[in-house]
Amino acid sequence: MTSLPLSRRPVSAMRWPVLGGVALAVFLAGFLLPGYLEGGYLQSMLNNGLITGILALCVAFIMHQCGFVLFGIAAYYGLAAYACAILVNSFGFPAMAAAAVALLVTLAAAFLVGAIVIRVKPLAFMMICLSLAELMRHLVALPSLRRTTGGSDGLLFMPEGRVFGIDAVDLLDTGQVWPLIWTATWVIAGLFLIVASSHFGVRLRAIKENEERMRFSGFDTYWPRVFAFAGVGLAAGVAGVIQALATGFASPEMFSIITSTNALLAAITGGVSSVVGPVMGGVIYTWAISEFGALGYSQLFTGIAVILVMLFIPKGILHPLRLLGRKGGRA
Amino acid sequence: MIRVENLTVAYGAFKALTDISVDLGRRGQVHSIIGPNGAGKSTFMDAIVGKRRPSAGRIFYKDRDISGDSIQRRRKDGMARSFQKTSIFPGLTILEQLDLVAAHLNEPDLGAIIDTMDLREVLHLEAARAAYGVQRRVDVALGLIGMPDILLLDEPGAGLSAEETANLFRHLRKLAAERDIAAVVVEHDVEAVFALSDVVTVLDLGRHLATGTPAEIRANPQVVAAYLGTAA
Repeated sequence: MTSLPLSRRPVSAMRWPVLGGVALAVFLAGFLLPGYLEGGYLQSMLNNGLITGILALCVAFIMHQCGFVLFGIAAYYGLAAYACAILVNSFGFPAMAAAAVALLVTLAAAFLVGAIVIRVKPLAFMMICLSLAELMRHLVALPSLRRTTGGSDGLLFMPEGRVFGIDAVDLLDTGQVWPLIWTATWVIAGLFLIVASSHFGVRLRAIKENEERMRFSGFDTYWPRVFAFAGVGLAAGVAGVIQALATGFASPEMFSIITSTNALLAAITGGVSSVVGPVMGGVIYTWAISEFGALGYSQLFTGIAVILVMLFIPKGILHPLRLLGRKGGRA
Repeated sequence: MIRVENLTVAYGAFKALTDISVDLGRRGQVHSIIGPNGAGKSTFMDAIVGKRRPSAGRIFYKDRDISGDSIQRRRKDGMARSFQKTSIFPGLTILEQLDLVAAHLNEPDLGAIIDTMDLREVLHLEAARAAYGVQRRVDVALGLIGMPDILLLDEPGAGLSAEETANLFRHLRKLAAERDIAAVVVEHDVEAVFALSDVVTVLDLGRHLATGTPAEIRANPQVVAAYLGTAA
């Protein structure tokens, strides 16, 4: 991933091949990582960090492009994970088919929810999205659905078949699932970057900036945002499916407010105006929670860290680096 | 081009406009709407462009009843507006926003609009960083895209100096003539209106007081009593 803002490209055309080359090198080098880490804590932390990073990317994209504070990304993350697990357990789907159908279900759900929440005011949008995720968390934990969803214990499942050439069972290994997570992160970041730079992306930002003027310029201001919302839901679903396949488990906690809050804070920590920031935010945030948790002060230290970031680098940790890079480029 | 018949717009029990009938918008002309504060000028404009639904009465555009049409439909049919408070896209560059709207409305000659509104030098500037006068011109330029037949401007001189307002009106007259469009302008600056309009309509307390040439309006005793006063 390159350090490109979602909305515009400050680099000259001459620098694109260099940036592209660096991005390709980093992407390819990422596949070598499991060989060095040999599983264990760091690999697991990186896997979780990138999953949080994907969710943070979703939150950042919808915030930057549409101005929505999405406080319920967990709904689509959890829904995709449960759909995948249920399709495997209850219907005998192979892993790849279960993943594909789960993503279609998630896309449809995000589209329907988007069609409703796009119309409401920002506070209502935030609360409805949050409530939906909480509603789902309680729904899957209902004792009457225990045979299908596993109730409050969550749903264990054993995927079969192959996923992009990898045996589904092998995905339970933190090192083996890494290429899938790594590639998914790049693909989602790349797609978000392309969409943000496209005519559609400019249209979304214009609607965010001045919806009334857009309507008076003859634009439909509703459907583009519904499509953006559905796309973000789908991307969160990808994270959910991968997490489910990586653990063989779907848990009610995937829908929890903590999942949504982590994604939002990771996006803010990294900065919402680029695709690199939220991913970095996801990794750093996951690492910080883990480290602070080991000291027994997870909530306290994480809270302090987020407040410091908000106060001193409100545009995210990548912003000072980008400024330094520009100064260096001018020097 | 626009025929308003018995238009009434009410906010609850309060009638902002009462039973207004007037013809507006002849090609190549500048038609101004004036009146004291609270006369209903902006509401009148909002009703024409579809932002406010009439409580009673009808609005015809090119002999078609458009009272129920959406804002987008009216825009695509050639009815454009600018706003009392500059309404542009502050986070986009001037070129980005003009380009976006031009692509959507199939504008064949964006360059001509850029030149007419004197924006070529500031195209790559983020709109929020542009001077207020430039932002006003961007606002008008956004309205001009897509070859509109009629351009409705709500106080285009708001926040501008007398000289800038006069300049803007000169631009408008030039545009109306060159592009053969009708310009309908709500404006407070009476001197600019009388100097540069072809037709003037006066509203007072939500009612239609008079329509005529600037000379006729200046001489109208009702208008003098209600709005212009002895200074006119």
